[in-house]
Amino acid sequence: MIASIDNDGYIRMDASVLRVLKLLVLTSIFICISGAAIASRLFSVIRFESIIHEFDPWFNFRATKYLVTHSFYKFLNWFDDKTWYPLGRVTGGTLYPGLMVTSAVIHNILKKIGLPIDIRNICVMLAPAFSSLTALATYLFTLEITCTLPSMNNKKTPALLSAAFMSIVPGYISRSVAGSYDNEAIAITLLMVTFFLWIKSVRLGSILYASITAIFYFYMVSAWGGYVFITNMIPLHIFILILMGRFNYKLYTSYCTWYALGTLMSMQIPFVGFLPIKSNDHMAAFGVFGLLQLVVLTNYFKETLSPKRFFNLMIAFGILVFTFGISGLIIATKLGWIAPWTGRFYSLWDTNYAKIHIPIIASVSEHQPTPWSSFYFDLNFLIWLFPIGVYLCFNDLSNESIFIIVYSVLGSYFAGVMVRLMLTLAPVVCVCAAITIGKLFDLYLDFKIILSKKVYELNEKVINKNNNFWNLISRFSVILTFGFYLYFYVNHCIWVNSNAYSSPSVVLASKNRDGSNAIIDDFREAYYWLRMNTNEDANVMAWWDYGYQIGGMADRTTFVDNNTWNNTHIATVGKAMAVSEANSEVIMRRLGVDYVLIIFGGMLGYSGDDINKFLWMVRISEGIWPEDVNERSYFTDRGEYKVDDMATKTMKESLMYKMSFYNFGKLFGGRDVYDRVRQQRMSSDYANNIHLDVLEEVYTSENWLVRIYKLKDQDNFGRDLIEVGENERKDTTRRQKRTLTRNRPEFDIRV
Amino acid sequence: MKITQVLYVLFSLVTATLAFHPFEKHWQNSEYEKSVDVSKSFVKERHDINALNIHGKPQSKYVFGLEKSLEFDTSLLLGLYKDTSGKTAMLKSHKLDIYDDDFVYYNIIFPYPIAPGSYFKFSISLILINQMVPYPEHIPMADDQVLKLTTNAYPSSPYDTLAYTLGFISAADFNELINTELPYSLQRNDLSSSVLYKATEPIPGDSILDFSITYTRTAPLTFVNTLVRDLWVSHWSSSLQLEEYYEVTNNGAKLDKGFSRVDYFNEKLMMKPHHAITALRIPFDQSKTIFTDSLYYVDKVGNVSTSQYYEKELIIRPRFPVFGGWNYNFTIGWNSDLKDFLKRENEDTYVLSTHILDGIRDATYQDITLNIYLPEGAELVDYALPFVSDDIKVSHEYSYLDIEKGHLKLTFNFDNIVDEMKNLELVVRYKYSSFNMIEKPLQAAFYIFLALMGLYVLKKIDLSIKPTKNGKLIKEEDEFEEEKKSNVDEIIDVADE
Repeated sequence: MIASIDNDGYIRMDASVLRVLKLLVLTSIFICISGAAIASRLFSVIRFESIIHEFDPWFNFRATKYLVTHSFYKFLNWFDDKTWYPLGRVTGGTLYPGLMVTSAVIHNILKKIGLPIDIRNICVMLAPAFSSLTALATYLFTLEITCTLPSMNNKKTPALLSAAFMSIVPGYISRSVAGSYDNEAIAITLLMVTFFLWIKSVRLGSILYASITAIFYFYMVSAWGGYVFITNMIPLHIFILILMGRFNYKLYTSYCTWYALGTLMSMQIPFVGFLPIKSNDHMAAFGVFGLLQLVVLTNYFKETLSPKRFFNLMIAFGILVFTFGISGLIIATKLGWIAPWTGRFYSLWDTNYAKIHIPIIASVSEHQPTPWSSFYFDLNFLIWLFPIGVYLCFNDLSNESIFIIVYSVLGSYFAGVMVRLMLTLAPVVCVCAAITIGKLFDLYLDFKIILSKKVYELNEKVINKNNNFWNLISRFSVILTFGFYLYFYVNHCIWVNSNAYSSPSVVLASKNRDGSNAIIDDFREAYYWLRMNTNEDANVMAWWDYGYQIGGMADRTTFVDNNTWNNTHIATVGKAMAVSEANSEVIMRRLGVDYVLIIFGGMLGYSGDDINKFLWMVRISEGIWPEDVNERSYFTDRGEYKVDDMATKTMKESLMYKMSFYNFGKLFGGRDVYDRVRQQRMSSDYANNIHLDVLEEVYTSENWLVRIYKLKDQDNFGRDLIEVGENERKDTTRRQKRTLTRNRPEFDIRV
Repeated sequence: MKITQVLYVLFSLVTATLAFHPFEKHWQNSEYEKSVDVSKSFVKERHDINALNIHGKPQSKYVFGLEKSLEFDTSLLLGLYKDTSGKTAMLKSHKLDIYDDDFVYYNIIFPYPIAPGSYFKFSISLILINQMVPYPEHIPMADDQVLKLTTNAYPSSPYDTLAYTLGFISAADFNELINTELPYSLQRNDLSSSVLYKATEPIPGDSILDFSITYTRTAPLTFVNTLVRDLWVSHWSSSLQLEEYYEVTNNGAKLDKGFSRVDYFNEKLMMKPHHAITALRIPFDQSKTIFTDSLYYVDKVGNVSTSQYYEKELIIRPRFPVFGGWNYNFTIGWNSDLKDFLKRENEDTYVLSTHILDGIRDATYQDITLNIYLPEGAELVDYALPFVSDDIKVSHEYSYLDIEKGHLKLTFNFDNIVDEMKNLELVVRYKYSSFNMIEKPLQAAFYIFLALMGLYVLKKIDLSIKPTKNGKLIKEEDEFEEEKKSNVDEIIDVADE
């Protein structure tokens, strides 16, 4: 008998049956959450294909392929001579290998058990798979928190809600759709797992959990540069606990275990190396480690010494430590033992720092400060539940809830500084919002009072019926409102995922005139042309945005790419694009350029093209050669950015401008030439007069999105290529004039 | 003029060597018609020969000479004759093991000995690849492509020929490139779609003279460098899965300068027959059922969305127009119903017969690797090929859910194939019992069971360290803390499960 009805009318069930039932319900909830997490990330695969997105993932994909085809040690020692020509890049030592190793391991394990799945598909599907794990980790994390909040009746509701929120929150999906094979894809999972384990080890004071925390911290370090967030979060948590007088030996055990193991392990990553003891990012962790030792020492003195002596000792001790600490820091910085304060560090505090001092950082769109609307766009109604959740944590102040408070403060600040850091805020928002809703549902979804007979009878005696009715009304209004919000949240998330975050950006979707879907595949068309029809060792110059894609799809050597480690090299390429043909030729010959690739959206109306990015090239090269390049000279006297007949002389002469509009006029057959992006018209005569002498057009894609030029060989007779071109043009104009006079139109009498 | 002088010298040398011929001249060609068909991207030659036995005894062996330069460009050499009932039948032929500077000799075996003084009429069909070269090599994009073809002006025969005709079929804007006197004169005669040359005098055997012509062809010279063709036999899904990887080059005229999209667009070259490859057409075998939703067309950077599928053929467009000298590679595949290919001979023996390729229309294939993957556990019995090939390679390849040995992989290599030979059949007989068929699911189930059992056993192991006193467990002092901890752990344990 599974259930029986007893005399009082209650349904009685066996405890073991209930337990199984509970397990089944829980399991099915998790399956649903995983399903939602994965399914909502597959829009791009279904609409387009299983393809790697954007720019950075192409490099990760290429590195993964290298790892799969070579050995792990070869991968770590990988010197990539196909990028940053002629410098090359010590790729193995300058990347976070976690992502590549993860997919390579999955690939190899699946191969071992008889599932030889293509590495591309593993890379594409890695992010959705890990996002379902993130939901699980968020569940565990929230459960750890709610278990320490005494006012929370139902501990699992918030945990399950937070997992559900996390699985489809757009702020996270933006970085983890299928095909966006980026470090963040696994890093957020690791972040949540590390935090969960950290909370657990703080609560238990367990060396085992602290060691596991360290292991996951190591995994996180190997996967994403954002590990610094954990490196600072955990010490800050401890620091605040100490300030609040909540020091205990559990904290000491877990922190020291984590710090010692985690730091040692993180130093094994070649890219990190000695940073944990040198860079300012890690100083806080080191400082708190030292502080903890002092606190333990003080605790010991406190027990052994008399209060008066203890007080005096403390004063002397404090001054000593402070002076030594500060002077040590200054000396170490001066001597260069620890890294100087980097630009990225300043830009975290002053959002305008990068814009003024480091154009290359400012030129990346994801480094821009976050507009307020994107908080709502990425988090929907969670954003206004978030402060309430934090407030609830304040209500039940436990060591664990203090972690949530610290996390939410830090997360909010960083998300406000940089758009991409919205990603680290999303989990805590989900947790806090889930705590809020959990609390609300605790109160308002609890119908036991109304349904249970005995209580009902009790109530009737005490309170009148009317009150009970209003009680019900208020319950239902709250439940329905929040039911609606939950529904709306799901709706919003799916809409955002489908419309905003599911474009591979390598392939563009468009519509035909009859409304049917069409795909604009110019990027791959041109990259594949390069791959098929140029020499294998050809060097392709393009702006750094396309470096990874050229490496991944065209398989050709590039000069600069998205790993912007050498500003001067980027500025050199920017200068070659920004200056006149004659000056540019010198730079290109010196660099060893074979082909030049540019993106031109004027025909199609694609606004992310090189003419629109041109100012960044100018700015970055101006930073190095202010005497050769001047941003002002690319604007007209009235301060307009013009590309038509009114464009400035410098603009018209620049190589980028010429490459973009070369031959563009012919397309309009004598009519005015119209640039669909800039919405500017140029006269046909002028447009047809744009000429190139040192470069030869070798390929232009179907919609003119990508144009490839070849640097002409030097003249056999040692003449200047531009002079040759000038003479030819003179000849042709003379000849044209002659033919014009010869073929004078005949006048007929019209009858 | 120098080259022609050299040619003269060579020619006289060739005629002089006739005396030391490795075999005797038992035959005389009373009529010899050589027709060269250039309508495709490869050359089809047909030699109609009426041979007279001038030896004293009945003869059944005829020697056919082929220019040495064509030895590695010959795709097919086939002798045909009409038997007594009027049907066309094949003649046996094999290469003679004789070394000669100018010729490779083939022995053609007649079906019956020919009496002295009797005639035997037969024809030899040849398919030659890599014969055309663009002339000039570099042309402007909008111009028509002119091709140059060089062939032997005279019969490729060691025997003397009395009446000889040389014809060129389907050559538009025909032009001959001869600036010297022919040793044996030929009279040109232009017909509507062909050009004929008739010899005015008998021609001695073993005569060679390069004869070049040019003609206009507004179609690409599609050349497949490599084709890897994989056929996966799946009994469970009852489908034959095909995947083909192509490396294609256009051997046509190259562009004189860089590709200009604006000219390409303004001249509307996309719409016209042109010397760039804009589409490759692969006709389907109508007798087979193809699962159309399984069709795919990808290259190394992903899906190519520009393919079209009709009832009869698959039209695939490369990402970019492939001009002369340009390359493109891609992978296509589809599934067919296995029933159309497989015959069950008895309880556990099957016969698979398949075409050696699904050819791209009008294309030449340099190197074809055909892999047939039979299901895991299958055993090869024997195979039959339409022509002589190197030995096949038998190996194993691991694929999905292969645990023991992997799929049985048979590898065949062919070279110099043209699309017209696609109907040639390859037959493989193999053993595959019904036990083999259920073996795999059983194995998979067994391993999953093992994994689950392992998990269960692992869960049973208790590794926790508990404080003890004299070998006995002691209770924590802080009971409340302990209880709370265990509660949380339990909740989390349930969640973990």
